[in-house]
Amino acid sequence: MRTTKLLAALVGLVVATGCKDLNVPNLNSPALDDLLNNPTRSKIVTAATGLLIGTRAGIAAQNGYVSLLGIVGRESYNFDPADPRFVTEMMVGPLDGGSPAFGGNLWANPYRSILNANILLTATDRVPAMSDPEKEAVRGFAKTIQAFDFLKVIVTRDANGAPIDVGIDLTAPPAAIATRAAVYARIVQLLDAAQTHLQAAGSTFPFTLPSGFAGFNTPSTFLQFNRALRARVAVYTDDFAGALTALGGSFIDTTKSLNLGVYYDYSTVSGDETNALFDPNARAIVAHPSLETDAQLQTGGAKDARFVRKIAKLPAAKSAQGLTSDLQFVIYDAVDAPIPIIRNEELILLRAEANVGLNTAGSLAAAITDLNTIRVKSGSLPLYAGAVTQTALLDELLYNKRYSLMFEGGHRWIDLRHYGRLNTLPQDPTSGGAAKRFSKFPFPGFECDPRSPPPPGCGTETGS
Amino acid sequence: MVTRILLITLALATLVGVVAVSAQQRQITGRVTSAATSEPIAGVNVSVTGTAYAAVTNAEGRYAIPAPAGAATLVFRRIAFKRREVQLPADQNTADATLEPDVFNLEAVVVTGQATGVERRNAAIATSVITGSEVTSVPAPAVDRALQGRVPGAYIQQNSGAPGGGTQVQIRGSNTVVGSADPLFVVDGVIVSDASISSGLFTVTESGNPQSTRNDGEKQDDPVNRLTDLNPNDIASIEILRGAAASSIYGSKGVNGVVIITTNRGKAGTPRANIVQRVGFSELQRGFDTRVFDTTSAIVQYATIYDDLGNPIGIDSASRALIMSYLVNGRLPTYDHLREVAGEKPINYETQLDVSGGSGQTRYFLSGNVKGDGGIIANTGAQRQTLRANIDQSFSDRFSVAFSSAFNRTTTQRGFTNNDNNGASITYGIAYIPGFVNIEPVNGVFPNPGITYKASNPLQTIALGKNDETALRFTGGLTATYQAVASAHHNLKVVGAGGIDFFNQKNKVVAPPELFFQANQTNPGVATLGNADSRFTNWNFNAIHTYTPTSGSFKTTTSAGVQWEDRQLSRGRVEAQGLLPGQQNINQGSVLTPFEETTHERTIGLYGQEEWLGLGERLLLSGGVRAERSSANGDVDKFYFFPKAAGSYRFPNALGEGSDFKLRAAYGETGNQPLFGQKFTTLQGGQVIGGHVGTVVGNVAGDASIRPERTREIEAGIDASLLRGRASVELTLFQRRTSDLLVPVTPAPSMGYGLQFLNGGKIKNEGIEVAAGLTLIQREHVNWIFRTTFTSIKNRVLELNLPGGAQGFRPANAGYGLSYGEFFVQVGQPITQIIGVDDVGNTISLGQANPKFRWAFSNQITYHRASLSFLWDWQNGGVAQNQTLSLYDCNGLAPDFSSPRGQAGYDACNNTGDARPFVESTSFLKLRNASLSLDLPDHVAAWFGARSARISVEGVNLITITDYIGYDPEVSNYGQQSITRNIDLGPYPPSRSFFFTIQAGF
Repeated sequence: MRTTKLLAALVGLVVATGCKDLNVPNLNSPALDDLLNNPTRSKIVTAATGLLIGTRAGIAAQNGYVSLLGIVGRESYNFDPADPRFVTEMMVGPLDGGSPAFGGNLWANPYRSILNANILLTATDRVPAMSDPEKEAVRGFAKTIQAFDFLKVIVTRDANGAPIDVGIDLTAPPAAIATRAAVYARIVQLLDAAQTHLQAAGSTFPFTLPSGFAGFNTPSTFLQFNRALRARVAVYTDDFAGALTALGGSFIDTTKSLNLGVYYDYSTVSGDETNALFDPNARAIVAHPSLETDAQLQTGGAKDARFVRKIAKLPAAKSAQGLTSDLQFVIYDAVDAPIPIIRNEELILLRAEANVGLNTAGSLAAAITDLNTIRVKSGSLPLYAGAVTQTALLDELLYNKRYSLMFEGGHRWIDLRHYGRLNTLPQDPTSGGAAKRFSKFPFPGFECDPRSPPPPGCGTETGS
Repeated sequence: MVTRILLITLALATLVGVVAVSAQQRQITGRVTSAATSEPIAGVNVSVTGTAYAAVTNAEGRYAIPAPAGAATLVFRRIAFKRREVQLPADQNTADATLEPDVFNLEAVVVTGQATGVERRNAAIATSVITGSEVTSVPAPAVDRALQGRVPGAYIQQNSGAPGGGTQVQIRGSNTVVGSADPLFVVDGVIVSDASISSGLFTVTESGNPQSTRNDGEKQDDPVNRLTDLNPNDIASIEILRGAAASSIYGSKGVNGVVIITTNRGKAGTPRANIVQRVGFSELQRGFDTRVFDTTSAIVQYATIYDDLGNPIGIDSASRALIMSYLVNGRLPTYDHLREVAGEKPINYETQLDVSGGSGQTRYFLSGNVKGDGGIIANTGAQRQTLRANIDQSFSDRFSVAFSSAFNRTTTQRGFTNNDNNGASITYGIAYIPGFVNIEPVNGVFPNPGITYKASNPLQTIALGKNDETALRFTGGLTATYQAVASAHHNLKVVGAGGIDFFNQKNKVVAPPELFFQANQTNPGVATLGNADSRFTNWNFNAIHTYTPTSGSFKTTTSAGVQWEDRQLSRGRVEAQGLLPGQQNINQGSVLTPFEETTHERTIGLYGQEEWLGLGERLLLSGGVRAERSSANGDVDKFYFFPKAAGSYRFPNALGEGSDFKLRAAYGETGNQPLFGQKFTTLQGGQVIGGHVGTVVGNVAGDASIRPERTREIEAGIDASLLRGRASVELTLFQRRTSDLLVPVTPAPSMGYGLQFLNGGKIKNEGIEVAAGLTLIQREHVNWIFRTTFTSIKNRVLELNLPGGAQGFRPANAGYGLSYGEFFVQVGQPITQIIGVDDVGNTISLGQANPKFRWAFSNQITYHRASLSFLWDWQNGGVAQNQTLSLYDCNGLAPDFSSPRGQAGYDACNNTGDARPFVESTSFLKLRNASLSLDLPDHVAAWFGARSARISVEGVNLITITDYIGYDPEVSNYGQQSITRNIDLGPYPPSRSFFFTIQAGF
């Protein structure tokens, strides 16, 4: 009978062991499932802060958003001795979707940020210990940032379109590629939904926004930033009346500093990112020589003050692959220099652009007023004296956007494409052939791999 | 479900267990002695065929066993002796037996379950059993190294020549891409860790990508695998479970094979002591010679200016002046830098003392070992101190407990070697310094070489750098056996076993700011402190029931049990840059980089199996299943089943009197667990904006449905024993298909992730394994034993299921670019394929890392008291990325620079980008070891009061015959790897060692 008892005990042990809970949590990092299924106020706060980290990713890199769009818009060259593709691929082409650092770049970072926003929105819906106004503040914030990330995607892919119905379910097939118009429509929808959320929010955000959002760090002032983005999107989609409406809700103010606005923050604090566009010895990044030759003159004969302020002469010209420049950007003068997201100067120019687009006598006059504000305040140039026609004023507007928003995120390339003027870009003679004009980036190879047949926009972009 | 099956099984066992013991009995007694020495043999298993009765001989070789009335057959078995059967008439109650030695281990009992075994002659699966005396016949840095050439089906390869070990064991091919490639090691029932934990050397060499988690750098630190802690002298036997049918009892950790190590245990009788004292030295075995320069060639190499088309257009006067500054008596000297850095002849020593004995119910084995291996690079070496206590206690005929414990301290000083991006690695650095540059200290001051890699003076690095490791380890286990029922027909045994394996590994890497290569850093001077804690616990309970019917025509063994396993490893590291001169404390650095990582897996296995042995012990059939769930899987509640089935049939005396011939076949399934964390999607912390921390999703998406890789294997073979045990052959064919292979997949980036590990691929390994032994001469004073093992494995990737139908991917740690050769996993190719570009830029396959075959031969020749043994190991085929050669070639420093080969290598590196010169065949023939020993006459031994004494001379790693250029064709820059082994990049050079040994028994 002792044997029977022993065996009974053994059976009990087997049953007890067999049913034991084996779960081991992720011991090294916070887990996504934990945020989604067990959200708390502090987890929402760090995820919201993370959204700003995510949307900043890849902006300031040497092959990031500002730098690569600067190359295709002939604002800059990159003479990195370690990587000739800054010239061979980014200028001569073709842009290759299979090269993640160049032709296939400027894609994964914004989409990861879009995923972050979706996660934050889902977790916010589920978090118990936050008031509804706080939740609305988070939602308004998250949708604004997500719209901004979609905007960063579509300006690089343009006519190729982009997926918009991206969720957080990885087992689902990749979202379909939507048209350019559909992507802009989604951006508008997100920004307007964010507006509603922010209007229903309380007086503060439950998290702290960094100094780049100084002046825009409460739901009501953040809404001005939201409207500023909305105005940019409206101009990009030729909705000029809508742009003026949106600008009315933004922080546009000709009496205030042109630099008033929202910025990406950088710092040398451990764990923070530094601004890699700060290149004091012009190791790799130099300014395009046309910025000097195309600059208008101040009354005294000096170059446009924006050129003088933003560009310095190198002691000796630098050359690579048949290209030469003796110009260096001094826009980002420290490793913690902020990079503009959108600022007052652009808003004034957007108002001018909308008014040029509306093309009425009154609107053209209003445009001239705004253009003169920028010419004088930013460029120290004499007042506009050219023809008062839509065409002439568009030329003048594009000149001012080029110098006012120089090397701040591809404005020149985006604007020339918008008005069908990419063919005005110089075809610099590199040692590998003449530089091409690209209107858009191809999809990354990994985006195409799971799609059969590959949609248009996969492969390479040869330019013209 | 499984629980229910077990319940029923156990309930049945309970019912039969209470059947009354048969009344008709008699007692048989006798004595067992050695045929060779006439000494009594203790520990012989005695059984009566057709019954479940069993007994064990005592120290005097005596036994007593119950037997049914009538004629009986007694079977005597003991490891290292041939099995013996004695027929006993009904009226005879005493039986003495003499046993003959079993040189080929044909009679061993091999493992078939957690607590069951079967005699090897019946085994239906291929098994390898290595005895302790084979392991310790020559000294080895670790047990795994001692198994080289002795195990069919296993490729055992050292990662470098560094003292202290660093070896990978690959059993039956490459079966995974990202999963664990190491076998499971079990010592006295305790699952032990064989982790290879980075020293943190990469913080100085800056190998790998510093922006990432440094995972790539960590792997290039040439770590010791922790099996090195085990003292080989304590080992009684090693059994290697190669096939899936054998290892499926270990479920989802069995795919790479299971190595079951049993340590020595005490024997009843007079106490015995054994002392082994070894002393010897090591020296450089192979390496690069030096290119001899004259001023003309030096100026061509170092001072000539070329135009864009490669035409010389002038001479740089400063460089020319630098070269002239090296002149000694008007000529450029030639220093042999390799011998300067690796020319030490260090003293090695080892002392082993063990004591064993016991009386009646208590037996013990105690041992202590102190060992020190010097390194051929100064200030390197390895030391180990171990203590072991194994105690067996029986409380009655029915209940006994076996306790095992070992405490070890292992220390190494490994120096700076392997890949380097910073001027730290000694072996990397000398590939940049031409022979005419003096690096020896002048008046105690190391010169800055001038022509070198990142200002490195390797001799200065040797003198000032530090890469030290200390590991403290305790491994202990307890096995309790309760004989619940022992009758003529029924035998029920309950076995419970459990154990723990703890170790702490501490690393300190210091590169002081005085080092030339540190001086020009932003923050000169690095100190890195690493700490790792490992804790493995496991236990299992088993019930084993054997039933023998009255007719005695068959015997069945039913067993069932449960196993629990818990494995944790916590690693931490702090790197301090900007170290104050003269300081080693990480507090004295100005820039600190922390790292911490913990992994933890918990696994439960339930299993049951049935064995049936009948037809006069000719036919063995067995089947079983293990059900397992684990925290490593996506669904921790889901049981995964690993079935097995096997059968064998013997033909006794079919090949002559005393011969045995067996056909066997087996099917089994085993697995490989996902790695810790592969199921989780993480949020990355540690990132800051505006002074506030934030979380963003990580690059790698977890797979919540991740499951073990599964390997299904069929094996079949023959075993034959001929000429009354003088010859034996074991031949096995196997084919294994692994499905649900974990493959790194890049999802569409619009989903927000960059990588995910998904079950999807399929690979196939098939091969042939042969082990044979032959006693060539067996005379009174001359004995010659020949053994051989042969292994050939073919591997092919069948499917990968990559998005977009992609046919291959570059695995992590694949290499350094297609111009040097890189691993590439591709459908239809061997999984260890290496590809590269040729001289016109076409990407071509350059072979595979795994060899065509491995064939080893060992001989043991005894003449009177003298004995000579040696082991040759032949590897044919397989290629390695010889990046050490590419360094010498690229820098124009290859000794054969002027030859067509040297010119081709220089040209490939500097002009065409051709990878072919740097992907070399690893075929070799090695004399792994040789020993000559002499047993001293007893009266000589008695001079020291010893019972027996032996002196011997041993050599290890004596000869390598190969076309491979440079160090050693067996090398791995990335350490333990399933695929990306065979990368040679400035490894610790190989050494050969000689020992003089005195062994005495008391």
